[in-house]
This record gives sequence, C-alpha cells and structure tokens, in this order.
Amino acid sequence: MVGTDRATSGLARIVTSDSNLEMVAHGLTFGEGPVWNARERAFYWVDIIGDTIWRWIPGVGQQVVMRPSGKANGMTLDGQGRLVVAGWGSRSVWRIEPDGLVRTLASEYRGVRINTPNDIVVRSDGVTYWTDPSGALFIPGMEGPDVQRYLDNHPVFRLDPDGTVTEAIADVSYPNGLCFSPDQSLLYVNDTWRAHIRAFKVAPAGELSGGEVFYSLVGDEPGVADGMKVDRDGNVYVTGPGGIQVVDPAGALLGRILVPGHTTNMAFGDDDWRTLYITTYECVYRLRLGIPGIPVGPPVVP
Amino acid sequence: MSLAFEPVATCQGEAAGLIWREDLVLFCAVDESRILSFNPSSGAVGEFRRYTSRTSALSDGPDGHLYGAQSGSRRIVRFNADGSTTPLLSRLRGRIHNHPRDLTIDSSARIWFSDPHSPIPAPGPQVHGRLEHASVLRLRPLANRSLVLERMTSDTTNPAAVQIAPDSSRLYVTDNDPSPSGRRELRSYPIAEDGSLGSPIVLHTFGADARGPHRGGSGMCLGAAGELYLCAGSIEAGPGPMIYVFSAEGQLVTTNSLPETPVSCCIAPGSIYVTTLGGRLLRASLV
Repeated sequence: MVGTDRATSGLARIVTSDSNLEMVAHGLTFGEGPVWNARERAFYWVDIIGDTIWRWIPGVGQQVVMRPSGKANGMTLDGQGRLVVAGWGSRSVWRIEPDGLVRTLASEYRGVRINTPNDIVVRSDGVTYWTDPSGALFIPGMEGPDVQRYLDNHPVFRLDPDGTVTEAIADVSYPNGLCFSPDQSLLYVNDTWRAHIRAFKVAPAGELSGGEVFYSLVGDEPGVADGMKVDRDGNVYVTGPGGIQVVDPAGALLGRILVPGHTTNMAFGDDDWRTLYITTYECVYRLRLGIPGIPVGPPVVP
Repeated sequence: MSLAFEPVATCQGEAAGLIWREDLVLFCAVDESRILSFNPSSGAVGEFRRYTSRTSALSDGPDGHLYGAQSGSRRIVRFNADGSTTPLLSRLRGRIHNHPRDLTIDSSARIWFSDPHSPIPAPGPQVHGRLEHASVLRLRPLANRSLVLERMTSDTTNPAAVQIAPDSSRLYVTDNDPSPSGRRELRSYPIAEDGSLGSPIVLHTFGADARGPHRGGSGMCLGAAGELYLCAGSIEAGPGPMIYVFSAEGQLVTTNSLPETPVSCCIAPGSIYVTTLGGRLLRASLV
C-alpha cells in the first residue's frame, strides 16, 4: 500500500488496501502533461526537457507520439477527443487534428506574444483555460526559440470556441495547475509561488469571479503546487511537498499520498477512471484509488 | 593617470557589463534583470530591455547583433533588433553549462565566455547539476551556421572577465580563486592558428594582506591602441578599488583609484565608463 501521512478518516475511502504504487515508465528528465485517452485506452504524457510526447498502452508498452514537441507541457482532450496542448516552449496553445496535423489555437493576446502555457483544461462546451506563467523563458533546458518575455503579468487566459482570447485572471503570481469542480461551476487554480489554491466561480459564458484562497499547501519537503485534478466527489488532488495533497471540497486536507521523487502532475485513467497516473521528474507511476476521477474527453460508446 | 569619476546613472543592486553602442551606454542592472541605457548627450537613463534573467555582460558580434551572458538562465543569448531574444546552444557534451558571467566575441564570430559556478541558482526546478569545472567556454560557428560549444581552459577555477585582443591573437582572462590561499590572476592566453589556447602568461597577480585577499579583476575593456583596462580591488583589502591599464604588449602602465568597488568598464568617445557593485554608472573624461 502506498505511503500516506497527515491522513484523516476521509482518506481511507480514497487510498485503500489495493492502492499500490506501480512504476509505468522511467528515464525521463521532466515528466508532465498526463492525460488518459479513453477511446485508445492509452495514457499520454510528456517529457518537457526530453522534448517528447509519449503514449503508453497497458500490456503493449510506450511509444513516441511527437518529438520534438516544442517542449509541450500540460495536455488534455477536448469534447471531440483531440489532444489539446499547453505549448510551453512554443509559446502557444495547439491541438492535434484527426488527420495528425497540428493546429495553433492561440499564441498572442492583444497582438502581444503570450508567455509560456503551462497547463490547460477544456470545458464541456469547448471553452478553454490555460495558465500562462513565464517559466519556460527562464528555466534552463525548457526554452523555445524566443526567450523574451513581453507580458508584465502571469495571467490565466480563456479561449472561446470562436478563437477569442480573454485574460480571465490577472492577479496570480505564478499560475500553474488548474481543474474544474465536477459540475464545472468552479475553476481551481493553484499558485506555485504562493503555495495555495484559489477557487473561481465560472459563469456560463466563461467569465470568472471570486478567487478566494481555497487551500494552502502544507509541508516543507520537496514539491510545489503544480498539477491538479478533481475526483467524482469533488476532492482536489494537488502536487506539493511530499507528493500529492488531497483536499476535500470544503478545503480541508484529507491527507498526503507520498510519492518518490518530485511529483509534477497526475491524471485519472483506465476504464473505470479509478487509476491515478502520476508524473514525476523522472518517472510515471500509477495508483489504484477508491474514488474515480472526472472523465476527460468524449464519452466512450461501447 | 588621474581620472575624475562622477556618477551618471544608478540601478538597484549590482551594475555589471556595459557597452558603448549607437551613441548610448548600455549597462546591465543584474539584480533588476534589466539592461539600462545612458545617453551622454541628454543625460537620460532609459530601459533598453527588461526580463533579461540576470544578464551580466554584453558584447557586439561581427554580425551587428548584441549578445549577452544570461547568468540567471545559464546561457548566452542574442538580443535581436525586433525585441526578441534567441538562446544559443547551452549544452556542453550533453550537459547545461554553469552561469556565464562575461563574454567577448572575436572577428570570426566565436563567442568566448567565462562560465563560473554561482551562489544564486537558476530559477525553477533544479534539474540540471552544475559542471564539475568552471572554465572559459567557446561557441564556434560551423559552416552550416550551427554552433558547437567547446571547453577552452582547464586551468581556471573561477573565471570572471574575458576579453579578446584586437587582432584575436590573445585571450585575456581573470581567474579569481575564492579560497583564502587561492590565486587571483590576470592571464594572457595565446590563441593558436587552429583556435586552441596555449599556455598563458600571468600579467598580474593580486595579493593578500592582513585584512584578507585582494579582490581580483571582474571586468575589462580595450582602448583604441589595444591597451587593456581592468577593473579590480575593493575597500576591503589591498590598495583599494582600481582601474589597471596594461599596454597591448602586456606591461602594467598605470593605475587609477576609484571611489567604490568596480565591476566592469567600457570606452566611449572621450570617456571611460565604470559600473559598480553598488549599482552606479560612473564616468570620467579621457580628454
């Protein structure tokens, strides 16, 4: 059974006696961008510094999907099952079309080149949000062809289906992971530098409001607020000191799942969405949990 | 030599590498991650570039571009005229090099730079360890316009300032071993026809006294006759903050005291400019 600490009784429903950490891949330089493709029954992730998008199919193995990838970072699937990518080094948001072509969805805001998209979510109606810190401009080994920063802040951007880009949040110091609540009425955004999560109300048209601090990370071990996901019951999973910190919908810590190395992100997957795939700098792990996550991408028709 | 220096501009934290370019003095405000400009005609101080990731030195290339040592992000960059910034090759045999401090470019467009360790880590995840050595490295263009990164010195422990002689026959390097018994020297390395470095001549050694080791050279520039201006010293020990002037043949010609600890220098028409650890740009007339 995987190690935990600071556990409350609520964690027992999530981490069960069957929750064993299993290594799926190793030898990465900076794992990130996990997403489960239910149609393909395949797990996708990236190695940012290795400049590669990977795919792993249980029982088959792993293969390169794209290399170079423009230092791809966060990934998700839209309602049509297309891979939508936060282009960290390429400074763009892009997706892979069914014919395999790459289509750039956004690279500028009001005529100015954006920073470096870090992570990304797509609402069920196609409205897309991404975090846009400037990390790839200054972190060694993650840079693209232009490392000049043009924006004076680190926004969260919204991309409407008609292609309009709007600054959705302007006052986060270093936005990183983001995810919706199960009913998509809330958007959680974490802030690496301030080590907390904020919760924003999402209007039907996509505007965000509120933004109160929902949770502040605990612990002084290696690890920062980075990737973030939600399960069916609305519990929020965020990377942080120790590995993964699990927080209930009211913002109370349920406990920490201890992961070796430096955890960067996670994604629910498998047919029942009860397996948590976890990326670290060097490895990918999977872990069976007691509560399923929120499905990503189009529903699978049997 | 008796130069009278006056402050003409300031920044927060350390002021470092500087260059005379297009009738402006450009100087690095390292701790602000900005490059500032000083216009001697108007006295105006402006911002040339922001978000420079602790760029600590500047040099003109023969292609007309401005290049910088981006210490904070462990790379050499090219500041393009359209406002973009291009990172150059930063992997030496597969590993990202240290924190470049100073750079100089020869007539063959080879970029020579000091690559010391730094007490300030690069921002973000600490994925890349530092190199075991602290050397002078060189980016050499190939015929297909790609670059190759090469280690050029094996006798340096903490290289700081670098400067190519006008005829590209010698490379001047200051190496400042930080240990109490370490050597702090100005060396002149001959550059062979094949581009390799020969055994250096030590042009100057900085000493120590009861107050501690004397601060070695941190910045250099060339005068019109090929003479070398070297910034060194501090009020902490030794003879104090100074500019040393060496002839093109390598003889120490003269010195000039400075009001505060210098970092680097550049020559402009009729003037010499010096940056300081305290964040000032100083100017003295050479006329």
